[in-house]
Amino acid sequence: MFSSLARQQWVRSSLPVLVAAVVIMTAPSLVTGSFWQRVIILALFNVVLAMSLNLVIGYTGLLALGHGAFLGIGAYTSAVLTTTYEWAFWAAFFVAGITAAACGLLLAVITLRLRGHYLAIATLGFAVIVYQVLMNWIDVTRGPLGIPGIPTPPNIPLGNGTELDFGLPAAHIYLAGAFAIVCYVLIRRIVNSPMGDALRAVREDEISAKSLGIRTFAWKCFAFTVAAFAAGLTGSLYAGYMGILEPSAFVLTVSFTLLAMVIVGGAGTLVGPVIGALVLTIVPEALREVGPEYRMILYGLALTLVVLFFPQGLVGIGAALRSRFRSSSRSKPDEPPSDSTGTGFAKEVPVDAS
Amino acid sequence: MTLLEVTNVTKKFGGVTAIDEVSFRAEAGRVLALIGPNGAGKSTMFNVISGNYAPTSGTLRFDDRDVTGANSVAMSRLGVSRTFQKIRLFKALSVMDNVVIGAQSSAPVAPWRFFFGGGAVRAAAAETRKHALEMLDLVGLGDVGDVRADTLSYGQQRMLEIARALATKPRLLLIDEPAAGLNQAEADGLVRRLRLIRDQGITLMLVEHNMDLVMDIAEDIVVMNFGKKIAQGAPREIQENPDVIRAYLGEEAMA
Amino acid sequence: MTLLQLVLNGLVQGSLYVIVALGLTLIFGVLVKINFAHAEFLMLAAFAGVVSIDTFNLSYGVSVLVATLVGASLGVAIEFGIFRPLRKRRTDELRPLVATVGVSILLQNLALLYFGPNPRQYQSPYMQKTIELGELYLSYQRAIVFVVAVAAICALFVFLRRTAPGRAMRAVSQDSDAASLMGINVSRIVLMTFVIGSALAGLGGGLLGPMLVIEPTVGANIIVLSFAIVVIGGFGNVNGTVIAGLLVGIIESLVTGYLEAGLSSLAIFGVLLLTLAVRPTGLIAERVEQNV
Repeated sequence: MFSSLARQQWVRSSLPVLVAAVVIMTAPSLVTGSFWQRVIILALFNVVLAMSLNLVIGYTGLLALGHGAFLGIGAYTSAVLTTTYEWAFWAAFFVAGITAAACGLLLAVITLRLRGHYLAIATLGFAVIVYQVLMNWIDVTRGPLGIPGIPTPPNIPLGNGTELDFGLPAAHIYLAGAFAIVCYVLIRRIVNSPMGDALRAVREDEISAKSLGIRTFAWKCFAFTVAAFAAGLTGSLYAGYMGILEPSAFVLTVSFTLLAMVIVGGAGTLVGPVIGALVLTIVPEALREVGPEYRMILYGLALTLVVLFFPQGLVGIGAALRSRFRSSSRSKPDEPPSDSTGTGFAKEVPVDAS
Repeated sequence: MTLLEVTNVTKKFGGVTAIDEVSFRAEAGRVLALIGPNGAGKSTMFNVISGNYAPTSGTLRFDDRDVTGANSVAMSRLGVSRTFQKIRLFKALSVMDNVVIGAQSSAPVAPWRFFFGGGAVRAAAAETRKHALEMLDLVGLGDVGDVRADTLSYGQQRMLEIARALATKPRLLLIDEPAAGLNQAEADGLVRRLRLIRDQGITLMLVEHNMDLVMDIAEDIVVMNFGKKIAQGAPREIQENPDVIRAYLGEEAMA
Repeated sequence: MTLLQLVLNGLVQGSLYVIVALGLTLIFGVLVKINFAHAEFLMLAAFAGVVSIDTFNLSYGVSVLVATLVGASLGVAIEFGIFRPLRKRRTDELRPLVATVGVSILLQNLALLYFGPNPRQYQSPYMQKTIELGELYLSYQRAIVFVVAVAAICALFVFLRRTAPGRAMRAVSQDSDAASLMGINVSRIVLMTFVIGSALAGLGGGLLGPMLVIEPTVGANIIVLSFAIVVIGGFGNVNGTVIAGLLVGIIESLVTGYLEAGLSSLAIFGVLLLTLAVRPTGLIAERVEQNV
């Protein structure tokens, strides 16, 4: 029935998902310490945030500096609905995503006629505004006091009499992991289809894209809205996991760390932000013994060095190493990079041997 | 049949008049060349026709429809496609992807439907790729589809831009200085390929400085100077037109 | 406080913002690049001022000079370390911004590591004494800040309009290719712009320091305001920046005085988004038209 090519494609697209699923299923039994279980959950949230930001920065080429704001909007929407209004968690979850998406669309419509630096600053300004609203809209958000007592998601019966108990970190690992995998698959669907082509066309040359009949403004709004939606949903899960929210969790620094994850991992590639998010969440925690300041120093250093010396991020370094290994072992001339889609707003020719 | 009708079009930038009350027609299925010294307003005229600029005054009719002020997206969807004087490829994408993106805009399946997959969508995707490959073959780039667009030679990049524009299945194709930077062999190949394109029933309009090429391929010529149309006619008439000769000699005397 | 008092305080604060934002806008005018680490220069310069007073017993005046020099040196460092290498590689326009976001995070946290999270007091003998002008009160420090800031702004205007290097700088900011053809050494002008712009940030650190406490995050609070000013004033527009800076200072002072401190940045960034939504579109759309 299937040609070998189709089978190969199926393996290539399903294998990473299966591996990720197995890793997530076994993670709670392999990593039992509560500290590291927490790190895993936060890393999975960051994976989704970085992947969604990458849709905007890497694929559409729009430098948005305020992605953390959508996380905050989603988290607070969900928290307020489940505490003050006693909504069911999953209803609040979807409303959180939709609220963030609506804010994303609004921001997009206001600012997306701007280009480059103006857009970067507009999104920065948006993040500041959101933070200030969280701090000052005390009737709703309780301001700096934060919102305590946010309920976890309801336990999920597993059929054989047991339940997925969200009182335990393991359940949050499963939920965050499943959510990350679903997001990965859906984002892959977008970027590997003509939708992704349209986004890349916007990134590469807007004037050309328009002359080919691509409605660039609509596509930019699309990227912004989808990214905000994903971030809003993540915020809801974050609120459900943390149980307490404070505005300080959504300062500008959060947006910058997400930017670092995308760029360090490799903007404009599917796995880049995943790797970036995992590395930049887990490695700094391993360094926590040395001193908490080193965490952000690592972010700053990694971001600066990657932009200066490895414009295609960790993914690019990996690809370069692989092709060097291949060419030296088989003495074949360097092949063009396997990811012919380029790498985010890096419009440079990849560094090659010549 | 008249495909494009430009009537009294004027385009001003601030106080500068780039095009001044220009009118002409492009007949369907023919090759029309827009010539004139540098700064005559030819590229501006292209930008007006393609919807990149809105004319300050005057009207544009395409296929018996008033399209004055339509933007470039709308013009593309109506069937006007173009290349750029300064090449504007999707540099970091593969040659094939450049053309596929062009082909997608003329595909019957909207991009968002690919999110849900299905047989119709898969068939459309295959059709799009096939069409893109045909366009690449037409311009002689069929065997370099997988390389990055910016690794092509200058002449190949110009041909790729043409293939990308063709992939939208235009009825009118605007080609801005296709021979700029090409060597003689490449220019000859270009003429041959432009004829192939015309033979498919696509109306061609080109801005070009290479007069041998223009006289070789153009069936109608519009001459502009200082934003005004100074002559129009068949190649032979244009070559003997005293106003045209003066315009060109004047430019050479200045240079 | 009376309205007039609030406006006066706003003007003083605004004059400081102007200095910091002018540095950003000069660099943007010449390079069309943003140095996101600009306000970290202010923070480090302020720390340098604190250290020169606390450790080396220098006078306040000298410490301001030290702060200015530290700012200028950081400008040189970032031009050679980040902007010039990226320019040579002809990367796209936003990459330096991303790199300097990294530098900003790095500097802020290195300062945190070295100076610790506890705020330091920038000693100035002029904080305690006040001038009374009828109903209005003004500390000597604020008076000095205002006078020095205005002097620096005037000096910059004279420099840009009346001196050869200043005119060269304006030429580069209008059209760097043409300037280069006219024999202007563009890369020297860029370096000069970084020195002047960053020295202004350093000066801002020395002046602002005594009016608040110095901690590693002080730059982060100021950078977003500076961006707002630069955008409201029109990127690269020196006159606009001066007006916008004073305006932001006054808005901040009025909102804080009559409503609540937290609302002031809401108001300012509301103005920012409004400006972005209404004004630069025309300007930018025109530029696109000419690029085709």
